[in-house]
Amino acid sequence: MLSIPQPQRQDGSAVTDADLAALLAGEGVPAGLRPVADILAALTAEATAGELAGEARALAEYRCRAGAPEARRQARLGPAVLVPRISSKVAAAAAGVVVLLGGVATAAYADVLPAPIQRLAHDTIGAPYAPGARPARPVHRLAVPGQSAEPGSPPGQGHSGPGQAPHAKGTHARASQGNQGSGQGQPGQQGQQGTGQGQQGTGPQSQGTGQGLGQGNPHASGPPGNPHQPGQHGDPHASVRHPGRPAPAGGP
Amino acid sequence: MIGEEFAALLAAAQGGSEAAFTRLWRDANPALVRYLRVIAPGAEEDIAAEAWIQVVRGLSAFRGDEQAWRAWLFTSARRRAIDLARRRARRPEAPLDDLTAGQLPSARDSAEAAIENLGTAAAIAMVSGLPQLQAEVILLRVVAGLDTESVSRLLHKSPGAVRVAAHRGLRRLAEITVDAGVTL
Repeated sequence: MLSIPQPQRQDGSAVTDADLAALLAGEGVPAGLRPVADILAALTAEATAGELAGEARALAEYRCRAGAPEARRQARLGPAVLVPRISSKVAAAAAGVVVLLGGVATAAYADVLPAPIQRLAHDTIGAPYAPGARPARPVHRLAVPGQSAEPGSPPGQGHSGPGQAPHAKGTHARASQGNQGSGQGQPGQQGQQGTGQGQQGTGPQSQGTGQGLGQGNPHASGPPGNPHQPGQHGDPHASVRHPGRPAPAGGP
Repeated sequence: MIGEEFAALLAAAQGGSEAAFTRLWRDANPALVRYLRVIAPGAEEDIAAEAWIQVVRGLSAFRGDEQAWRAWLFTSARRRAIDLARRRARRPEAPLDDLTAGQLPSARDSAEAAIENLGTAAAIAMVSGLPQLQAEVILLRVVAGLDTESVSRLLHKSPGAVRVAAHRGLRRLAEITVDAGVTL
């Protein structure tokens, strides 16, 4: 049989996997793969100018996001922007503190703060403080002319007279003193003086309370008393409070 | 590839050294553009820039060697190329019948280009003629410098599939050069 020799085809089919692995690894170029090796070498040739054109853009992004902290800060905020930002924060904080302190002071002088805070304000900035003025008054019983505060009490003892009206402004201060147990006058003297200051003979504490409350009632009956009698009107430097305000009659 | 200096350069770039970052960029960007020229022709520069933005954002948190660095960069670029391809697929294209002959792209035959000038562009053109997977594997192995394991992770293929694709691609390139008479 005639044998016709076939031309050997150099199409890479004779290339083994080991040759290809060596080509990829750059460990040598098999004889039949020289053109392919040249192609791979061309793929890894030196960079062209076009391939490096985006350097400025990437570097700008790097400066903004991943550069040095100082450079990043400079890139995001100009140096002139930093100082006003800090100043505005400080100014806002200072304004807040001023408003807060001013509000507290105003409330303290208006005597609307809770008792402990009001006392603190009294001690620190001289705000008025009268603990006896705002305590709970569970029963508001207005005095009726001709009636005594306490059942069975003698007329003229439970209510203040007209002559004490000018001193009614000191009622709360005197009541405070009575609560503090300072005592004013002697039991038994107040009935004689006609001031009608609470119940007699109940001791200094009840006396003081009854005194203060009874003097604030402009409608109370009874003989006029001595407005300047010591021990009846308490501290002459007491603060002015609710002049002429009707007060519950009687003591506790 | 940078080699032994890579760790120091990366640390410097993470610390804010523009010179170090520039060195990293100049080393990797040409390979990235060549890879993108095959898988996203016409948009390689934009996609490369977007990939670098992503890399810069995560630069301070990156940990790894040069293989991992390049794999990160090329993976980011490949995802953007895929997104671009999906957008292009959704966008209606003008039919070719409406275009004149002068408006049609004049692509030279890859083998013919290889014969005339076996430069980088011609080599990329020849690789572009390969099936997609073979072309990607050859570019990632040769241009990006990634090993088989890294390429398999990047392409979501098994290492064996990557080796087979690489060998088939190289064989195909050998056939093309023989058929075109490229003898260098």
